[in-house]
Amino acid sequence: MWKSSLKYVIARLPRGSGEWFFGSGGRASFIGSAAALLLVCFIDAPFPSVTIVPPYYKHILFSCLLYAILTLSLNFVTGFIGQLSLGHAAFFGIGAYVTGALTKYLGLNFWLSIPAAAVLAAAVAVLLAAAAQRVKGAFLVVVTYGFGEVLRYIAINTDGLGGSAGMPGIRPPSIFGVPFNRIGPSGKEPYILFAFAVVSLLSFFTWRIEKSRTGYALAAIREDEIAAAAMGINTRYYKTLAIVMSAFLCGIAGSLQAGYASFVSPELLSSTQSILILTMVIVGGPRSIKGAILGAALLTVLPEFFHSVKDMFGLGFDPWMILYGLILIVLMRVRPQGFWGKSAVF
Amino acid sequence: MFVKKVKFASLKGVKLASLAMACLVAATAVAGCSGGSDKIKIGLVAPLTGDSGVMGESQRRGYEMAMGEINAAGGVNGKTLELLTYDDQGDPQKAASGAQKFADDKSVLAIGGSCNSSSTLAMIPIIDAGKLPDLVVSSSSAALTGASEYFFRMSVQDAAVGPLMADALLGMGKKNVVVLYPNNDYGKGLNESISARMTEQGGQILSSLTYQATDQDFTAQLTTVRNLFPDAIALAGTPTDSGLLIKQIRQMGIQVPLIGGTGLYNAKTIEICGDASEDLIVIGVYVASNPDPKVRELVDKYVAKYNQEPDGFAALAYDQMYVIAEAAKSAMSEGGGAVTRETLAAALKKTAYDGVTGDVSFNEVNDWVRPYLTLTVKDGSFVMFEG
Amino acid sequence: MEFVQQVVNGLAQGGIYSLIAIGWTTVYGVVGVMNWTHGEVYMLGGFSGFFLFTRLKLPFLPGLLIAMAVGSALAMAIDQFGYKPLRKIGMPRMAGFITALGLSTLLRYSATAGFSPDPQAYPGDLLDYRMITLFRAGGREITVSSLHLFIFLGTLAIMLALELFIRRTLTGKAMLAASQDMSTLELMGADPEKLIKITFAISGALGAAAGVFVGTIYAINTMMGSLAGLKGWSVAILGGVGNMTGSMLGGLLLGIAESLTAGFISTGYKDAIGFIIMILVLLIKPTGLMGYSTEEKV
Repeated sequence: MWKSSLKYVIARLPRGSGEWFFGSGGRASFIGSAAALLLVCFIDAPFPSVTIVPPYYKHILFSCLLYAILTLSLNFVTGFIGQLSLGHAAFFGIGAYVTGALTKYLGLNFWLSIPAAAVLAAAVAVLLAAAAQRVKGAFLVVVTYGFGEVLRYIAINTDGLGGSAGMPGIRPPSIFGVPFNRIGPSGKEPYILFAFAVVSLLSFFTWRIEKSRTGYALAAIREDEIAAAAMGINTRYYKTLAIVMSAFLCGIAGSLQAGYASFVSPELLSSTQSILILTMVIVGGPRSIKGAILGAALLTVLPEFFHSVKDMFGLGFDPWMILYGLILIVLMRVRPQGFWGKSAVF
Repeated sequence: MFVKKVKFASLKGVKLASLAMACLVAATAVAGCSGGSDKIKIGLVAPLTGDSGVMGESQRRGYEMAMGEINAAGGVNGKTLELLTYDDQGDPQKAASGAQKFADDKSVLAIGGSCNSSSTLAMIPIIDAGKLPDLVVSSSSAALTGASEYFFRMSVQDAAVGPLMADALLGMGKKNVVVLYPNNDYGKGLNESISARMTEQGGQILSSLTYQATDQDFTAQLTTVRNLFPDAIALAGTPTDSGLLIKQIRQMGIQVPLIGGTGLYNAKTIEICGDASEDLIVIGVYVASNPDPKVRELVDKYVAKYNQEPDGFAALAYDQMYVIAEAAKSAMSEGGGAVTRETLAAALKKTAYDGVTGDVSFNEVNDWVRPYLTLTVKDGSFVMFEG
Repeated sequence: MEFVQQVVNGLAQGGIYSLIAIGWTTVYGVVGVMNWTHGEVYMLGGFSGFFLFTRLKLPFLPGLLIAMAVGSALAMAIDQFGYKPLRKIGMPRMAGFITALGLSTLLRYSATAGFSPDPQAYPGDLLDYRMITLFRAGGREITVSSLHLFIFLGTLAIMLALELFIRRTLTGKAMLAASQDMSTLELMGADPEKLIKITFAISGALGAAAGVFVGTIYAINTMMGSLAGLKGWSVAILGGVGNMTGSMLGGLLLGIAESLTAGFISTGYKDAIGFIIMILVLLIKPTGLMGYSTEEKV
């Protein structure tokens, strides 16, 4: 019974031959990565005395998945309608603060705070979408950047939200009465699996939407907005849809971060954060699902790796930021479409 | 052909899983190699670049200085100290990564940092779970008080410094005061404690004005200040912003006494505001002009190495490394030559160390309640304030 | 009258925003790239001033001119190694943006590694400092510091010189034409590469001048480019892309808005109000204050 239903699910996974990881199909990629993830997460469970996968690696793994949610979300705006946004950390931050405030002050269940966070982020995004109807390109970049900064100042100046020091002590989510941080060898496993589930669903959703009527409409708007409008595409509707959807998903990522770190601070809303998410999308390759995920992973793992390199060679400064600049310059010259992008989008 | 692909699909999945696993095992193996028994590793998570890079860099230099001396004198019972740093760039998410990294590395005995309260708050759940003693020289947020039994704070207390500033002003007969503070938890905390003491003792706060710590121009705020005609101005900031403030206060022709918190004790403050710093009063944790040979030795060595006088953070960090070393020593003598994070934390609680910044000891919530010095600026350098 | 005083304060601060924004807008107008490195040229200009004034003990004016030359050289080098190779492949918009981001990160963190994150102050006796009473209003003296006034006038002078250069010289006219249609200009026989070089040189000189001005009044550090760059760029967009008068106006407007907010509304929301005004202006007039709207070709 259980076996047959699993078979049923597997048979319905998207195949998308050859365009996912290592040239394999979507189904194989999902099963492979899920298996690998489960192995990584619970390999330590039978023998608590030895640690094969230290929590630090699990922390990095979670960060990769969290940023993958953000890059996949931003991809709706940057990849699908071809607009740059420097304010996406704002939606991430809104999600985190909503979950933080609701669980801390109202004692609301973490799971119920997720839809609240996502909906509020989406509601705020409607305002930004209205702005995006009037301005675009460099102008929209300024508007989104300013928008993010305004929200950051609100967080800094609101003492109820912890002010500039942030809000600590957010209760971790629990499932069947067991807190997340009590499950698994390091307490990070449930977060990893939950984030993985979101990334998988989001990848599937993105993959389906790209080949749908909506996807074609968004592509038409990206390539030529005026021509798209002339063809009878409701550009206003589709642009709003892309931005609101994107914000909704960023809000979910924010909730997850608040629960995981049990702490939120105004830095989550900063333009540095927005720029990081955007560069992840660009480095990975806009419009590529694989690119968004791997871009997020690459820019999360590399800085951590270079922290170790610095200690190994005893350098007086952290080489990562300098190298990061160089990587961006060289990448744009060699592969302007990003590592896994198919063709230059802009 | 299509069917074939589906058949191979799950096989590829297994391949993928094994590949990922192989990568991971290799990575862990590399990580596991480090760590010898003749070394005691101390981590430092602090902003070494970015807007608060100066603070983290001071802490790092203080650590480095003390470590060099301890190791040259034979280390901690023959074990040498080694410093590992992690630059969090003032970002709490990065600080959490750094804390996790050090928490996992069982050869790391204790860590320092971070500087900003938000970063330190993000690290608390991790060091608590990892039972990793964490010592700070800043992060004065009230939310951190007693946050973890492994968290030790050697920073100054806003609740102690604010009243001292208020008392010093009242002692000079200055009752109508304006407070200028940066819009962060340090500035806010100090502003509250100054204001509370001032109003309690019959003084009056004409206005409390805030600014961003990265601001450079304060003319707008100072125009308001000038029109309030205060008797004195209290500054609750850090070297760069306060230095600029002092310069601009004098340039706008406001000639009232100025008093600052511990954050102003830094040669950079005087360097930035130049002559305007004359007669500035500052509450400090130590003073470089102290004739005490211990202080003289640190200042001389520090100037020779880094070409600047150690600021409050550097001096506190210097003492902090000695505190860690002393605690490790006593934990070793009790634990038969071995020291763990738990025994170190227990030993830290019993700290009684006489350093350049005073007698270090921790209270029941691991805060260092300490005496302060009242300093003033004469001829471009900090000296003890007399009357 | 405190209101008038706050407006005067805002004008003084706005002058620096304008100067940075003009450097932004000239490059964006001609080359069409969001030149994030402008903030870094500004920072390095400030640092070259610091070394010239403290190590070589130069007086203000020669130091300023040399720093501006350094800024020009730097901006041209950035173009040569950063943007020129991209132009050869048709300059995809996103690639230009990300390259600029990469260059700016590279410069900022190399500078931090080289100069340490410590803030640095210029010598105190560089320029004569005193408060100047402009006029009396409502029984109060409206004052401005000699440095702010000097820098405000300096910004005006630089802008006027630039305006003259653009209106009166052939190169300047070509630059103006280039900001409207580069390909037509190329057909008319102008050398676009040469024009771009000149544009970057001007932009770099302006950025470095702003850096030295800020160093003279305030202090410098290696991170100062990021916020100033973002603000300058926002002002450039606010004023209207490629329009120098617009940038000047936008900078002064932002300066006044910030000063009035800090003086009368809330010091904590000073920067936020600046951004809100900017967003509102862009929503009401999407091309910026003085930008001309071009009909999009279908």
